[in-house]
Amino acid sequence: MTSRNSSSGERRISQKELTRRRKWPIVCIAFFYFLSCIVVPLMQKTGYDGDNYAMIVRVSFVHPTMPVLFAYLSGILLALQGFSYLHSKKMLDFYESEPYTKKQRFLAIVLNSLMIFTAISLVLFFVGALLTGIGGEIPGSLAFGVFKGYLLVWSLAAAGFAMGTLAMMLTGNMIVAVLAVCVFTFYECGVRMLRGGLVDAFVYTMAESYWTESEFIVTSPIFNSLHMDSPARVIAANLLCAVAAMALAAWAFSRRKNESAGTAIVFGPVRHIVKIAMSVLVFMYAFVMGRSTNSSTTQGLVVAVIFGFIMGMVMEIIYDFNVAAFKNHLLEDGIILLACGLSITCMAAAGKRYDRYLPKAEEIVSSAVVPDGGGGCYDENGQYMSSAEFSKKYMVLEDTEDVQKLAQNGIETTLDMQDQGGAWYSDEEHGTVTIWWRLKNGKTIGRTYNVNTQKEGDLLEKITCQKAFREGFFQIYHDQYMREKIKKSGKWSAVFEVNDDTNYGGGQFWDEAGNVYEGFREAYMKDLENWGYQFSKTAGVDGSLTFHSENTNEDDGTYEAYGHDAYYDTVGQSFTIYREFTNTVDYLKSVGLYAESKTPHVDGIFGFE
Amino acid sequence: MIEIKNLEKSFADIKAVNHISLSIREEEVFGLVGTNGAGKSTLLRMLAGVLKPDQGQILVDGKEVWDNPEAKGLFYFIPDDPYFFPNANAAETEKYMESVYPHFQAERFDKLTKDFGLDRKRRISNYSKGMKRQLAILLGLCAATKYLFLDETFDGLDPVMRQGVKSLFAEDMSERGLTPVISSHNLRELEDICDHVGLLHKGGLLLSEDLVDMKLGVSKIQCVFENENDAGAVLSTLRILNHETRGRLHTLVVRGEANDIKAKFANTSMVFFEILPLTLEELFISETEVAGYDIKKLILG
Repeated sequence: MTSRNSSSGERRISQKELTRRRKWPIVCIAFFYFLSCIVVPLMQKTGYDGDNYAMIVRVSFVHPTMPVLFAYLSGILLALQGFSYLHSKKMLDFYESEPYTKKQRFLAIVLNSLMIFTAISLVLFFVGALLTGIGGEIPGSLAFGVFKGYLLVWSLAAAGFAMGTLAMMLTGNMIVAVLAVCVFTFYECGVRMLRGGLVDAFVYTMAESYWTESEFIVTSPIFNSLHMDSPARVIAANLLCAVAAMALAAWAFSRRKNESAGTAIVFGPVRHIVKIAMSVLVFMYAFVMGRSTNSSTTQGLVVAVIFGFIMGMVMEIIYDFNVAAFKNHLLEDGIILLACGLSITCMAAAGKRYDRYLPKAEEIVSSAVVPDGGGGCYDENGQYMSSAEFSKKYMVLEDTEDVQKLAQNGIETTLDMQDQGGAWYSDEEHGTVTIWWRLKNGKTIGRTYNVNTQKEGDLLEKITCQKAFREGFFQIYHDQYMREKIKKSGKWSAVFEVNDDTNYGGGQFWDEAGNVYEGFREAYMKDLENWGYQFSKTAGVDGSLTFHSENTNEDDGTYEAYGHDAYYDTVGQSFTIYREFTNTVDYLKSVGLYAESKTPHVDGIFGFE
Repeated sequence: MIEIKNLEKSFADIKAVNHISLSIREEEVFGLVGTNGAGKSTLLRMLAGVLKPDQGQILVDGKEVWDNPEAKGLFYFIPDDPYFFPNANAAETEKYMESVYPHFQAERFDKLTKDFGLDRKRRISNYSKGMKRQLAILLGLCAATKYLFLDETFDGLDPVMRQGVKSLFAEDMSERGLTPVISSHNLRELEDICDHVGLLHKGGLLLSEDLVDMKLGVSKIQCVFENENDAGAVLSTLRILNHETRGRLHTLVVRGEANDIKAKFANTSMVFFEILPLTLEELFISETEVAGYDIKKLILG
């Protein structure tokens, strides 16, 4: 209600009256959360018995997806509706002539919005969790997980609200405000995805992945909330984003002129910044797409210029709400595109330098050589990673002469292949290899090359027969995590899959004590002492053996620590079984876990799946 | 009292208000006149604290208006196209106004809506344009603020409604000292209500005067002389602002008080002589023609 102090002239805006004017966002938010927290989980519950209710609670409320999506939408909705008066001259006449300061109104709307969202979502979220869990075996730790899940939801709503508010402050029109929210949400994602395309266009020896799902997007709270593994980190990032965006919004609000209602962008410099940002992004995407059909940089540039100009014209049309405005500021468009073209030239030159890089021998401490085609594996702490990352961590080759020769030849082979139609493919004569150099200045540099396996056979044999290579390439040398898991947990399965097109499965074994793994481990490590490039090229592969956990094990507190799936907590590893691994084959036969393949298949260069 | 000092406001390259200074005294009706685009609405919006002046000052009872609730609590602004909450009715709007204006007269509002035939339970979006304006005026009056700013609100009201509103203004002015500030592009609208009039043109203030003072100094005469010699002799003694003839009938607007003018005709035998009341329009035409403006083009509504 209103509070008045007539002697000082202070009045407070009535939250009750404000809320009365916001019926439709309230209805929408209530519907969102009724659907995602009550209806959907209860529907899921009907398909399971009580043992699985905890899993449904975990999926719906500890790692929620729908409530998270709706949180972002709700925040944006509340911001757009709450500050819609700034975009209407009629509403401005009404509200701005009332006896309140601008700051009072701003804060009242912010407070009202957060209260509306919190009241509705909090009740429905926790009531939904309760109803979903009733009748099942719910561990106490789950309540904390649900609380964290709600914090994630709330933090994302706050971030969405802040971004929506910033969009409203920078624009004078609702449609443009919605476009601004889309730009805020997706622009950085677009830039990061573009990075991959540009790297592909100019660099042929890039070693590390430039786009991973765990990558943190600074300005996209919704992306982080749906993809990141660490809720605490995401919550903190969302709140930081909310605070930063709201601070900017408050600043823009204080500078904004009421007569800008109805215009597209309120601040002149922002018009230019947005136009440049969008034109550059479209130019670069068009370049990548235009170049993709035949790897022609010229073709890419032509397509990029066309689309870049179109984007500039579209921005002018949006700014003026007038199709005839397309011809405004053509010179500005030209300058932007010229700068983009120059940057493409610089990128091409940088790419060439990157590909030809080779560290000097005296700069190198050690190196690692990783054949491509290795699968993922776990390190000693249970962190799941690619074979390249694994070898980067564990392989220490101190004799660098052979590695340098391999790298030098790899540079020439890769660039030759690129000139002839494309690098990075494997056939009977070629494969790919990643080389890591650990330098004396503390940096680790990596490159991936095509190698001609016939010409480099001797080099590859010398490198792969080293103990240091084996210890950095095969997970079995760093399997402490798996061995501890086996000791602690319940059932583990071992499955031998025969490497035969018509025959899968050679037995499934439930090992409650973990003894089979220990026996297998000892035999396999002994056989690996004979492994090398030539061996892998000629050996007969009978199949692969996979060890796999089957049960959840949340009580040991590790299930969230290493990015494992929250409630499956699966840890598994496959091992290629060569017919020539006599120790291993004998052991597997002794435990009934072996089947000989009728058509032994020789995989690529190194024979790993 | 409202003081406007050296006010300026531009929108891009257009100077909407150009160095305006004027005062609005309490308990008198101030009329703001000008054609479309003269700057009336911009001036009123700055007065109401909706737009921030680029330069200059607006003081309401000594308080700066911009972003100042103390000053804003002293007035109520009715724009030319008033905003109402979507799907709200008059009763809900009344509740809202009570929360904003501490002295809102709810009982009086209920009575006035009945008197003016406005259904309080009906959605305002279903009202006609005139009914919406009536409602806006009633809300403004019942807010019981000291000043009431109306932007072309009278335009579009039917004559009966206009009279009703004028009598309400008169009532509030005498009972609680209301000061209305009314803008219009139609002089005839403001004729019988304004005490003081300001004329805007292209963002500038052409004149600002009390009507009484304007009328005191100017007289309108219709006369018929017996002969041309008499006409020439008398007319040469007058300060003529406007002179029209139809046959032998002269219609004159002259500067000077009625008694002084009569005295100049006393010694001449006249066929017909009468002093007539001046309309606001005729006053303006007279005053501004002297300044070199063809006011007829500017203000005939």
